[in-house]
Amino acid sequence: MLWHTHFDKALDGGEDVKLIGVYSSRGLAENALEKMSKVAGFKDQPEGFEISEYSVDKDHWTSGFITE
Amino acid sequence: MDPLAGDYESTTPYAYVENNPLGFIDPTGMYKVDANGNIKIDDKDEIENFVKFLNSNQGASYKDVATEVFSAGRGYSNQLDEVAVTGSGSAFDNGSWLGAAQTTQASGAILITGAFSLEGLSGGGALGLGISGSALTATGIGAALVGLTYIGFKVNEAGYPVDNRPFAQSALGLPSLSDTNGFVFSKKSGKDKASDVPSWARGKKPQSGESGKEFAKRLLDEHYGEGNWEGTGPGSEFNKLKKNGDRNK
Repeated sequence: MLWHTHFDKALDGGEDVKLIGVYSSRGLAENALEKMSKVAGFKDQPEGFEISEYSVDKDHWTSGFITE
Repeated sequence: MDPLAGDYESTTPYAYVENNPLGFIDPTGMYKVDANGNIKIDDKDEIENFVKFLNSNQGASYKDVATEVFSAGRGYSNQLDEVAVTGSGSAFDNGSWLGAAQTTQASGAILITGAFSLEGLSGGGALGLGISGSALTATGIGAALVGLTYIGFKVNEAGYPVDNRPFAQSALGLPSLSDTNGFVFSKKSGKDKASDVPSWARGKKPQSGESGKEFAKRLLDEHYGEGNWEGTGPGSEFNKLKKNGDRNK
């Protein structure tokens, strides 16, 4: 999965996270990152990109949550 | 209508009583209360009282200061648990004493609202603000430790002030009237001060010197087995724990 996080104090919570896409391989995600790093907004904050791999059909949050 | 309402652009002239979740009473009409219950004070006499009080009562608690500021008959509510000082003559910055603070610039004045640095479930948090006599970065977040006076107070785990932390700690100077054009008492918004984490991580705090990233990795390794977890993107357990760790380190 490829995200971009835009950090700016003016934003609610100080950041805005965008999910760019879900890909079947890291290579495809990297291609998407390369492509998106040239477009408005994203090109000014290339450090905001993040690729993270997840298995499908698997829980990634496995319990309840608490607020701390 | 509030006589000073025109000076306070972030609320409406009518907000001071109608939208008052704290039941704040303002018989003088000199305070503005916004829809979130934040109280802005920019009356010259009140600012003078506040600054004089800080200068003559080092070590005073938040409650002492709040009681002084919202003196008899003015309906002080101890549910207000942040204070910010606004100024235009000089810049304000938070020191590294208590971690990150949000700094925003509005209407030519610089307003800082500090972030709570929770010290553990049973400990509490504190808000720190530094005031510098000389210009620092106007909107920066971070440390600037030259000539600062710290204003802070401790809160209990519910986020309310407790008395055992000095409100004002003098470093190299105290706030001056020329540096101060107002101050704000506010209710903790919750934003950036708390977040959701997996319930299995209840009460877990970073170890001394541990970064948020290290904290998250350690907890996930302990919970799932080393390396036996995946996903570090936004919304992930890793990401939530990392943010929680960064805020509480």
